Amino acid sequence: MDYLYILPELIIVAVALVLLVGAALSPKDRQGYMPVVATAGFLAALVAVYPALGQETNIFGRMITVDGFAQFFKVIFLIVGVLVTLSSAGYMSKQKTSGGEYYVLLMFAVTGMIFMASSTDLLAIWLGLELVSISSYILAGYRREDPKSNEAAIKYFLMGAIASAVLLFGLSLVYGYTGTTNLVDIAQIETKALAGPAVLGVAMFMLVAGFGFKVAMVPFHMWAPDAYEGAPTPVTAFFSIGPKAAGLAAMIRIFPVGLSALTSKWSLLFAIIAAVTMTVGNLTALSQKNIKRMMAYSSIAQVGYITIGLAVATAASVNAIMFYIMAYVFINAGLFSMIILLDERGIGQKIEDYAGLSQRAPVAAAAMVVFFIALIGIPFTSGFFAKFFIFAAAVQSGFMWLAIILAVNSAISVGYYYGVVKAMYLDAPKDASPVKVPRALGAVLLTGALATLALGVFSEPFIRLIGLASLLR
Amino acid sequence: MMLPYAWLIAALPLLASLAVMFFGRRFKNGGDFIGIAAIAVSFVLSLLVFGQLAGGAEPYRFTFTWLNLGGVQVQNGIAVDNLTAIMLVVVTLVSMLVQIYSRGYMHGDVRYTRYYATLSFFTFSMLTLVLADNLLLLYIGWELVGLSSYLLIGHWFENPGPRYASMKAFITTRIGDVGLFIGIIILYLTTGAFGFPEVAAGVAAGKISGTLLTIAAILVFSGAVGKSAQFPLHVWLPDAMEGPTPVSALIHAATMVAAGVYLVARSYGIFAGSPTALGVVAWIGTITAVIAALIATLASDLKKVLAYSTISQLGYMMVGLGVGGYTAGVFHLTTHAFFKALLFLGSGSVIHALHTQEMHEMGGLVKKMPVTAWTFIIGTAALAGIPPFAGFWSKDEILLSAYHYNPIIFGLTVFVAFLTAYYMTRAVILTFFGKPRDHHKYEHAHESPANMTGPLVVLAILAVVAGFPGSPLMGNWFGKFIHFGEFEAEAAVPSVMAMAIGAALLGILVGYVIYGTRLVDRRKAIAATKPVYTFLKHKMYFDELYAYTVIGGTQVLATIAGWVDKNVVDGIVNAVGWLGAQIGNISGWFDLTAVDGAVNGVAAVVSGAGRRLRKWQTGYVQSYALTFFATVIIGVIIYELIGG
Amino acid sequence: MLSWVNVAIFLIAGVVVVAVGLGMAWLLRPSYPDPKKLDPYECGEVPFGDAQVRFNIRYYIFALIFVVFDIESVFIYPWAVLFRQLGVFGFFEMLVFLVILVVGLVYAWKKKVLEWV
Repeated sequence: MDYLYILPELIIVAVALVLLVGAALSPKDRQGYMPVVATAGFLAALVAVYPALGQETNIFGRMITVDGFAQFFKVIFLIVGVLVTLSSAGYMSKQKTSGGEYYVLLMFAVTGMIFMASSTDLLAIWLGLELVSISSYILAGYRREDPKSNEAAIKYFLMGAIASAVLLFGLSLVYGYTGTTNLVDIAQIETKALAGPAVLGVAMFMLVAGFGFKVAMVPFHMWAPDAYEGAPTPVTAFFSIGPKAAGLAAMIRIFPVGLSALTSKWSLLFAIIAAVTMTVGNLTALSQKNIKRMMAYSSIAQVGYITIGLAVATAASVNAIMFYIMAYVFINAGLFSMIILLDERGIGQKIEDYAGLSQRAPVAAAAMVVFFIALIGIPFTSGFFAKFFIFAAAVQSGFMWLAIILAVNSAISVGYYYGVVKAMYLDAPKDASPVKVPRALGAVLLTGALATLALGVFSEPFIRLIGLASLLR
Repeated sequence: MMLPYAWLIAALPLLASLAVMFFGRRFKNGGDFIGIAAIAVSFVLSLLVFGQLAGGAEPYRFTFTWLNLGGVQVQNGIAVDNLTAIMLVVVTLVSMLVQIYSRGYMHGDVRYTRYYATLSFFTFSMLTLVLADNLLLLYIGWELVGLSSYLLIGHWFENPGPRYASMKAFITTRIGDVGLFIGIIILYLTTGAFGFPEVAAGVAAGKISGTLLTIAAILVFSGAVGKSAQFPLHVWLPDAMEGPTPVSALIHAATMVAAGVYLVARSYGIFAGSPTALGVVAWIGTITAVIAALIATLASDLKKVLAYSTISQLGYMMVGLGVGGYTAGVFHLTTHAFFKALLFLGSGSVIHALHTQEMHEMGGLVKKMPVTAWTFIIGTAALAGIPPFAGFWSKDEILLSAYHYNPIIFGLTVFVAFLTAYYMTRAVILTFFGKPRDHHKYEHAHESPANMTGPLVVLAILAVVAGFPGSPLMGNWFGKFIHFGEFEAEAAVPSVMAMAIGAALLGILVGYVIYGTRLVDRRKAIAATKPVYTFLKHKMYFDELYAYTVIGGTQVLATIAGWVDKNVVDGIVNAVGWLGAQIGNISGWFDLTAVDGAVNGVAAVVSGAGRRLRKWQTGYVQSYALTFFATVIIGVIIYELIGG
Repeated sequence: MLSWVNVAIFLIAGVVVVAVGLGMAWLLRPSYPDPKKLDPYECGEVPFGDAQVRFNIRYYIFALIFVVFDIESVFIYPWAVLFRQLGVFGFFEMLVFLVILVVGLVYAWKKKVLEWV
């Protein structure tokens, strides 16, 4: 039965529908159960992943595939769902707009993400992408009374529509030339037959642009800082990890696997994009004063690092991308839980608002330092191995120059991460009253920090896991 | 057998650090005794390890598979050989003494417990670095000592000085670290291993081409340049003196800054394959030694004198390693750790008593603080290279190696030996002799408590005797214990030894003539009439005039002309001093303008680019769409023209 | 490169055909304008006001809900034709689809989208 393999997705959608009815029927002040139900839904879906583990098959007329790669990302995305739900609960309960639809949209977006990672068909990937995107547009504008949130949503929507159109055009060109939308079939077409026509080059460029927009690669990144800053903070947290990871997963399916015959054509393109993306991301982040905006540029830079893995396109580099995403999800979820808290308490979004946090919330500040250290790539944290694997993969395949740019960039990134750490530890707080961390946010913070350290010290089992889930051998 | 338990040496300070951090506040003394007890046990263990290796035991190595990346295995582990054993003893001993000393020095500090926790953490990191049998673990320890150093420099972070200094130290050293990391990766990719013996074997087997080996070795060395404050990354160390003085003694004199030297020594198998890289090491060391020594002759802050002296001596060690004197470099590292820690702790004792670091507010302290003064003088003698103190033997060996290598380097190192003796004599005279210049401070000065003078005495004894194991008097025992390749005793060249002693004595003499005799003039002046006093006072501030020579060079020239008229001998002495000041000033200016300027320039370019890029982000969705489409269209066109 | 030459020829040919057609008509046709002829709708209401007015936002929401039912009919018609072949499973699959649509309708209803205030 094909449906058994998509049990996690079915569970999420069912829970989302229940919540949708709930959001319509129950009054705003009686919706406290919603995050609980949503979390339970995500956890149930996580359990439902278990029966399909280790199996490999194709379902729904080869639209969807069941393999280690899909399962890996399914688990990652469900964890993202849990972490984001937990860190949203407090923030959303304080908004004027009722929180119900928020969780529904979040669950739809997660469903879309899962389909993006587990489809081997261009159309199915595109549908998943649209499900993520449309949910994201609404999420970005969720604070209806806030003009900035509206601006974020409109910009994201307009640019997203353009990107979707370009992407779809690219997909149609691929279909027009190869006669199939199935990536496995495309991969089997001979190199010569595929590499000849210029049309496919144009199509390829459009695919890069479309997906590049979704994961915010430079120069398709311009929506990201505005959308990140304006969106409600938990949504920003979600944007910085969820859709990005899904976009990258789909890109791995399309480029190194589906269009592997054209590697020589897109490899250099990704290499240039990687170099520009990291550099622009890091340099621009240096001059930011708003922490959400800074993290937007930081996440652009992180995508730049990951893009190196796409450019290299070897088994080692694809595994490195998977490790990077796994590490990055925990780092950013943890980091954003504190940004959410400070925003929710009205302490602020500016870096100067973090002054003296080490005195106001010592444990949380220490956890944030762990995250920043990991983002810089200092050993004993997951971030170190994430960067190291990318770096090693690049050097092994002769992309020495990219590896050097990576190293220089991670040195530059110290500049702005350090600014926050300095504010937290060295600057005197304007108001010394302690900041109490609620239990749900504390759980996210602690999970993030522990996972970051665990991946940094005992990384071997996880590396083996990724080896099992690897798409390229 | 003790050797398999060597990991305990590093583990104990870590446990102590955690214990102090979490439970320290519950105890009366902030838990300092936990740290001291742990390091004492570590020290005893280190001595046992050292004893066994000295007794002829085989070096010990323990490895385990740390990562298994689909066939590629990364090993991790620790190794205890002779070099490690020496470092273990040095690190644990100095750390123990510094922690005892800190009980007095840091008494009543607001973050006393944190201080002890960080100190123990630093010791753990440094011992990890020393025990590592591979580049990866060494790099981890390397970063952790950098972190602890950062935390300790910024210990008094309420003040902008320490805050800025800690940042500068962290960022400057990280520039070198990037190079080190790339070097490690290059070595791993070519030799397939991180372990020192494996990498060295790979290099010896020719797995890495000559040019790439030179690049890798220089990249590894760039890490050492940052950590050991070598030119041009030396700018952070003088500023790091903003930290508590015991920290300066432990981290910025005896151990962490020597880690760069240790790194070069430890990976000597890599450097040995590339004469070019060794040449770079030797020349960087020489340049550093000369520049820092020249600046030291002008510094008026006692700790800054010692800081520049440390940079200069680290340059010396690099020279030793670079010119092929492996034993000499490591030997100087060992002896320097003792006497420089002694000097720093001595200066700390003075600062503790006077609450100032300016030498112009000191003077005559030998009467008030005899223990501090005399131990400081012993340290000075050792640093200046007066036989039979420790520094003499190790410096002599470096000079000997340089003598066989290159006459220019040899000449410059002898010159540095002269300068070293000169500026240390100046520091001693200004601090401890003559009349007190700040009577208020002098009246309140007192000898430090026993837990501060105790470590001074222990280190003073070591500053006297630590050189003997490496001297011909004990049959070059040190050389037999630590050597690269086959051990061969180098025949002492009497003329080299004579030049070393001569340079040191000349330095002391010049220093004494300039500062000692001028102070005699001053005593007369106070007794004499007021105009004469003012005139002599003007003389007394000759140092300040030196400092202003760049601005008012002619004024100085006139003054010197007057001096020559009045007293020819004094005039010549002053001319020598003026020349030194000029050179010192120029290199100081170079240091401030060119090196700092380059560092600031890079920062400015980076942040400028950031601002420029930010403007690109206009906020108009139309321009975003335009960028998007333009990129797609231009990209497709370029792509089809070039790649299609 | 050859394929690009083809594209270029095609593009030029396309432009030329259209330009020639319009140009010829413009040159050859007789032109006798009169007010009746210039009306937007020759046989209908005389238009009034500005055509570029803002429409009430509710039109769009109605349109959206209409699309939902549009798609429903697109799906249900072929399903009904093949109902016997699809069997029980097909029946339940369509039921699930309808339930999802109903949930949407209920939501819209409860949110007072269907009322014109």
